[in-house]
Amino acid sequence: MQGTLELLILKTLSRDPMHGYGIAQRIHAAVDDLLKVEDGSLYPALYRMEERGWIASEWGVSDNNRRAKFYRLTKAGRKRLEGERANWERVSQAIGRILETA
Amino acid sequence: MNFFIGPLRRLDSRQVHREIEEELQFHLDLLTEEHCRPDIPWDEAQATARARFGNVEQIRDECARISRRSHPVILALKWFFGFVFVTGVLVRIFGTDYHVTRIGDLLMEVGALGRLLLYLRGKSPASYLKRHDESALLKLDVAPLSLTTYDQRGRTPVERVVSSK
Repeated sequence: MQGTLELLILKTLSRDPMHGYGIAQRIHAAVDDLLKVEDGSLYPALYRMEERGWIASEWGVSDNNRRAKFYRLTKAGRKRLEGERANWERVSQAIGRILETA
Repeated sequence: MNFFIGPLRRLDSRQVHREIEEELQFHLDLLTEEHCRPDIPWDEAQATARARFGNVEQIRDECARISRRSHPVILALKWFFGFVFVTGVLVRIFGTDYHVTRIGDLLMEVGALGRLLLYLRGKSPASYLKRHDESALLKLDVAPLSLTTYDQRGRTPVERVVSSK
């Protein structure tokens, strides 16, 4: 579903800054094979979100002492997350009602 | 500080491409390590990692295309052509003299054409792959030399050397 990946990334980054691999790991752990997310698909989404100003990136050093690009949520991103979350709840509620009545 | 350094860093397109490659390589390396076991050869772990990652080349191109679209010079040009177009509209509306309205038309045309060209440039596929053949990602297909590394026919490096002689 459109915007789902962005929502997952925004939620993952709402805790603390993370590199792409960390984001992928966190998402895989959370969805537990219920949702198939290809690791590589995160990157175009991350770049698009950075372009829109929802996240910002900075190079740092990872746990294994390698240079890695860390992403963090911006103020605009936090606002977006709230909006997306409300939107998602509205849509899932609507679909749930249709499934119950149909 | 990053507020200034970020856009400046993006001015150098080669640096941007290097960073994309480094970032994807970092992810692929960690994925490979994740799948690596004593009983699993390195190239098999690498293949599993690549399968889980997706099409590396396509992802790299897509990231480069997005980066190029948000290049500071491109953003500045977008603003400039937008400004030229709006100025043209205003001149066209408020200009009373025929020659002045013609200038307005011209400005509108230049602004619209500039934006169109920038849009088309953003749509075209990234061509940097041809210029960066020495990229680290392309070396991924070359499995590191190790005694536990088998090729597609199940030969060890020693067997490969012997058979090549």
